[in-house]
Amino acid sequence: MRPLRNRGPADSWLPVRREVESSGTSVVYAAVADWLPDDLQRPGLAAALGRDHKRLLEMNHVPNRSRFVASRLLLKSAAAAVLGATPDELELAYKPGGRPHLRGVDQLDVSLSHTEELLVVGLTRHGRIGVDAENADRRMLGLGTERQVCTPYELEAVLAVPVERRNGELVRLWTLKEAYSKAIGQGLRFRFTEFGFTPEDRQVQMLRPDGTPGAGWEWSFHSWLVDDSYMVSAAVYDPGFGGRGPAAAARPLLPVVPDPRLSAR
Amino acid sequence: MDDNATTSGGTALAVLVEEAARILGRPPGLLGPGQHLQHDLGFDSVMLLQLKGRLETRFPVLREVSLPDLLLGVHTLGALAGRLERTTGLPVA
Ligand SMILES: CC(C)(COP(=O)(O)OP(=O)(O)OC[C@H]1O[C@@H](n2cnc3c(N)ncnc32)[C@H](O)[C@@H]1OP(=O)(O)O)[C@@H](O)C(=O)NCCC(=O)NCCS
Repeated sequence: MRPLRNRGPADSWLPVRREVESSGTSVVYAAVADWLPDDLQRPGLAAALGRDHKRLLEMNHVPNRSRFVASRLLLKSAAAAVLGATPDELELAYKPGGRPHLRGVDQLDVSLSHTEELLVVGLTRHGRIGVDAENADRRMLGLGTERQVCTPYELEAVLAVPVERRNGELVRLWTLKEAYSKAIGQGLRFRFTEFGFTPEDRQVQMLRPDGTPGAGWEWSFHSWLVDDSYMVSAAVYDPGFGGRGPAAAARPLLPVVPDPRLSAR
Repeated sequence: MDDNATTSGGTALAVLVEEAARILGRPPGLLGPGQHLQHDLGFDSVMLLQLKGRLETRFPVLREVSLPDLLLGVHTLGALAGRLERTTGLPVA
């Protein structure tokens, strides 16, 4: 799996649909500018955002507002394409800890991340997904963060990395941890030093603080450098066909949300 | 024994504003207790980690406090100063 680039509302969702159909999971990224409406006051935006519009009105930080709006439009458009629905049929809601989900849709799990000019959306049919992104050059090392982020094993492994790549390695570990904590709905509540990941030269695996293998086979973890500048990580939980059963495997992708046009009649 | 005694000068809010301003690269005078960390100041998770790291150097007792214990349910600088006051024993203002 590689993240798929989307170039805005006019771009085709076919590659993403195909990937979700074949593997169950897709990670999509886009530029904020490609999804940001020219006018945040434009009629129709409140309807497109639904309950999120109230949150938008509480935001004064301009870059955050832009990422907030653009990420919703991207997420709904991608999910709608995969579900065979329209974006306005979908509503983004939040679990008590802040985990986003599509209300009434249990066929598709979603996750989102946004930083600087980048939007990332994770979609999976089978279990849970978490995605996270940071600028790969974002300074984290030496700011008092590594002690809060790394297990003892990871700290040692980070220090063993050549100095010019050390900060990037910390960013990679951090995005993996955030992706996992988002997949399980914990966000910043998670104790990041209680689990870790393999060093950069190995296939990504979860490790206990002492470096022994941690998570079960249902979990897979990925990190990619996209656009030569952002580190994007995903954590995917897939209980497999055993967990899904034949009925679930055959479940259609159509959402079970009521069509508002029908209830308006 | 008393870690807080090692922190020189200022109330919890003043120290917090100073450290938040440093992370944001803004003059501390532009920051006030009513500002929302995320919605007004644009703090993201890495900046929150950084803030905790900076505050730990000012209040060593915070090394024993987890990030969620410090931040959960706290949205504004003023509310965070209140949480800091309870954790460190420094007055808010
Ligand atoms: C989730 C979190 C760790 C990610 O922060 P980040 O790396 O700065 O930002 P990202 O863009 O990568 O991810 C943010 C997205 O994660 C999602 N998210 C938030 N909480 C989540 C959770 N518990 N589980 C899964 N996903 C979550 C949201 O969709 C959020 O986007 P939004 O703010 O536009 O709705 C962090 O924002 C968080 O825990 N927030 C909860 C609130 C909180 O604890 N605040 C502390 C006091 S200010």
